[in-house]
Amino acid sequence: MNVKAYLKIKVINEKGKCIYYRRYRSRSFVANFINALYVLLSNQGATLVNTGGRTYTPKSGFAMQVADSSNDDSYGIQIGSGTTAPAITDFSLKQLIPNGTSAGQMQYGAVTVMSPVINTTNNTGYITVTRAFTNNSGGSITVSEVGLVALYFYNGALLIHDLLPTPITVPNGSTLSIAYEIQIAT
Amino acid sequence: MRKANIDAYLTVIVRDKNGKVVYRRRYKSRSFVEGFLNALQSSFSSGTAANGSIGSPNLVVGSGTTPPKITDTGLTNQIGNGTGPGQLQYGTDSFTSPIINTNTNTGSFTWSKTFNNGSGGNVTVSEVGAYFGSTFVLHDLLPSSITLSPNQVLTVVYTITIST
Repeated sequence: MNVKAYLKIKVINEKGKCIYYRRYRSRSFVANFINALYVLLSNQGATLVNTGGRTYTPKSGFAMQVADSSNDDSYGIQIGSGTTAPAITDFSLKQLIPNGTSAGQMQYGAVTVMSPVINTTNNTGYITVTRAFTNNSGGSITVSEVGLVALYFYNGALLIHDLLPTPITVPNGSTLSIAYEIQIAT
Repeated sequence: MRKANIDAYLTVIVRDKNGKVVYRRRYKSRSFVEGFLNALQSSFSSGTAANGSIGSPNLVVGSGTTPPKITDTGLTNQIGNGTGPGQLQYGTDSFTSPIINTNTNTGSFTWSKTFNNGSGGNVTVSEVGAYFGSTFVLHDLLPSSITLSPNQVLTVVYTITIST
């Protein structure tokens, strides 16, 4: 038994054709996640670091909200162009690709969190968090890192940070879809 | 390269009436159940960053021997709290603060509870579980049942870990 996370990546071109698909095992839950889980379970304080690098100490808190509206890059699934290997103390992506249509920017879609899927035959279950990013910048954009950031106790808190084994170049007019699938097994 | 996940380890310790450890085992916990996923999904999709918790933590022990299933909502046969026959005196749930190891890129905290046998007879424990409030989240069948003699104290420790 353990809890695993998978990262699914798809690129759809402007004609609606899938031009890239990969599924990776996510590698990097970071310290904020274990601290938030501790607060959730114990109702005792733990120190987290928000995406701005500032520490804060929630005493209790249930919601690690990753569901987000479109055109907001402050939390939910984020993408970046950094290439540094993740460390457990990471609190933000190394180089966030911001929301927008200017050079080097992508339009962030809404984040959706699907209801759990339970398979009683093999005693497994999973939830999926997804977000689409559309490149209307006028040029190609390379994505090399992905993160899952929660709005937790009024701060953005990085929970998972993954460096992609292979960076993805997203052509202008194409849409990158990212899904985190978090699984349990009994 | 190590692949990230969240793991849980279960340590069971029995002490006699003098506090001497007479039994100790550490297992990899096998069974996060549906309630954990539901709680995580609810937390992730919540429309507010409000305070509050989902209820008090509660480690429990039982005498059931049925293998855990993902749909379990409680132990198969929970041992009651008290000093009557077949009962154990439940202690308080306690936690250690998370420890982050930047050398190994790992982090962990523990969640523990003691169960005192004041029943006057033997009590056998074969399963362990955990609740967040009313939500059942973990269920483990012990590979070997533990029989507590009168006045022995069982300590159950879940160690929850992450790696980067």
